[in-house]
Amino acid sequence: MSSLNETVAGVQTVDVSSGSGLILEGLSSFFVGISSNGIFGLLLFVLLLALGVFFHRLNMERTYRSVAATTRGGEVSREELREEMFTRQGSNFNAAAVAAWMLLFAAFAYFYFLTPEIFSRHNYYQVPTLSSGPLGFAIFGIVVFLFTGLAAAFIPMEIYSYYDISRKTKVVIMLTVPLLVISIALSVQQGTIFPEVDPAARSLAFIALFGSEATLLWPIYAEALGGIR
Amino acid sequence: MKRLAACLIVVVLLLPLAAQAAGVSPSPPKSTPSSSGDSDSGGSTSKSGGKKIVKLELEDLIGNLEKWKQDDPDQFEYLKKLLHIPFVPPKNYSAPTVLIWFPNSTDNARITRNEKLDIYAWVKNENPIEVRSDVYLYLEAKGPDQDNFTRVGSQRVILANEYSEKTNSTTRDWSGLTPFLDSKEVGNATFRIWFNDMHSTYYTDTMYSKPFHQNDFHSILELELVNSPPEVDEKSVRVEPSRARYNDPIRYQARFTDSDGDLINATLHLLDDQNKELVNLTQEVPSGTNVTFAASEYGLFGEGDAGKNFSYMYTYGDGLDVNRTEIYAGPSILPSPKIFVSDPNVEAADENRYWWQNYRFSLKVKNPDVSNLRIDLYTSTPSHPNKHQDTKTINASEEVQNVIFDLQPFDVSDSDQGFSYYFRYSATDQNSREEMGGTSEGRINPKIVKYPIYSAVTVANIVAVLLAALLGGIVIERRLYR
Repeated sequence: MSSLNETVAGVQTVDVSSGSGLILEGLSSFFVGISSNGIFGLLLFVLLLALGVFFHRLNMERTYRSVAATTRGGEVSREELREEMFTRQGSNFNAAAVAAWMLLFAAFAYFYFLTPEIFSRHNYYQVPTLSSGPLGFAIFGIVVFLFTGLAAAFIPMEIYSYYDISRKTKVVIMLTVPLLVISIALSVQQGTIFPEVDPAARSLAFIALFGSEATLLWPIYAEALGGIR
Repeated sequence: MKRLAACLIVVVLLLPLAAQAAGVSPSPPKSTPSSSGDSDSGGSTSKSGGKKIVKLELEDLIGNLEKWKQDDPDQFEYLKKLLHIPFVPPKNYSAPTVLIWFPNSTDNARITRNEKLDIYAWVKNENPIEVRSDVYLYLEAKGPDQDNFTRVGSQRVILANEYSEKTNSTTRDWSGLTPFLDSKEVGNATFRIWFNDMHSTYYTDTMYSKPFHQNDFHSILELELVNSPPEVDEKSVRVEPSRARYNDPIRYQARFTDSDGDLINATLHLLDDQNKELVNLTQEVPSGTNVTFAASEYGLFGEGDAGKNFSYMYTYGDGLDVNRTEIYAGPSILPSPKIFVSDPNVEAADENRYWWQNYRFSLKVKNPDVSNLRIDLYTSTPSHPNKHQDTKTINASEEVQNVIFDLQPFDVSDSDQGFSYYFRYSATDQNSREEMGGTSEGRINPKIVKYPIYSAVTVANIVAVLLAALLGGIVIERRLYR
């Protein structure tokens, strides 16, 4: 009887482990699939940003209406309200947030435009003099900074200065800096082993990239969700 | 006088025969009196049974007549009167009707020089058979470049009994005529018939009060001689080989066609590199056949032509129209060899064949004469076709020299591509060429990044990106957020 129980337990153990293996395998193949799809990635990245902009405007509008409703006939201009709502988040946080947004754009470029694997005609290796040199990777990232610097400079100011961001959230946002560096490093690793592909590293870089983007936009989404509730 | 009387007797005896011959045949050739036999009588004499027999030859008689004509013209005229027997046609005799019959003449009014014509004489003789006389006919033609008619084809004869009993007519043909084969002009071509019915001579273009044309029957046949100019088959124009040594069997070939089938005069004009004519050669070829000029046959090129580039063109005509081709390049006469090269080779630094590795290109050169021989190395990939890599200069030596280029010829865009290479040198080799090369057997490794992820270079790049971002964040925060 005991041996039978052991056997059943063994079978159950095997079932459980094989079930979790299947889930992991499915998740892995899912991430590999979506991370290799350049168009999907581009659309997802832009969609998250666009939704962030949309929700931010929604949040600001809702706040304005709430304030306007409580003034009982007194007029409140939108500009005055923006000035009143403006909150300084601290130098360290602001600097880290700007760096995080710069790294977000750089990580996106490294992920999709480094090797010919995803966009075979638009990638870093189409500039042989750059990509043949030892400082090619760094120059590529800095060029991306130059192109996206303006956006990276003003987005944090706009989206973090009008929300009440907890200390924990700030820490999480600041942690996107190392997370994005990991994404960049994994993308560079993909470049160094090209034409071979490391699906796990690619999936991890993908998760780090889009997880960071979602995290950086989280205060907006959180406020929007709170408002909806 | 006795002598004259004897000759006259002979003349009278021979006259009927001579008269008949004169009516149907061209005049006999002039002859000089024979000096053989008895010169006084103009004949030979022999004795038979005690009688002297004078045998008169025809040549002797003619000679005597000519002599009499000169010596005693009055007597000669009198003799002619005596001998002349006027031919009086019978009553109710009418000359035969003669017309040119050219079948399908309404459709074939245009003819070419080579076209074979079938032309007929249609003759109708209404006289009773006992009154009819023989009719002799010639076809005469006048081309666009001729002022007078000339006879074409041979004489045709119609005897009295050769007419159809029902229609009293008959035909004679001149088939396969090409009377204007050598005409140098195009234009009107005219035919008529000359005929003689033993009473009179007639021309069909003048014997009728007005020209007769009905269906395919004509008193005078007027056609238009036309010409189609010859054409060149441009694909056939070539000189082979286009690069050759001066003493190689160089052949110029071309094919010309003439829709009229005329013979074509094809002239090859050999030109120098300034397109000035050096020599021209002409051949006459039938339409559609290749004309070939072998350089060796005409001695076109010599040792002094080594290294020169020539060109050529053709003029071609059919006697009426002359055309010319465009100017074609060739041949290039190869220079005489100055160096001997062999064994072009390339080896990658190792079997990985990465784009960032050095590759060793080598060529064996024997250069006994040329000082400062320049050798250039070129590589070709789809990304970088004909890329110049490096130049080396070697001096003359009796020993074979191994010229080596050890360099990094590729960049990242060449990865995963095949490549070829060639050495270009400033002298002519044993193959009369100035370059030699080869193709790499394998492709360049598809790996595109030289450094592994854990290398200091890669880590430094990532750290540099991180530091740049942090620095950017700090600067922006200080400048914009305060």
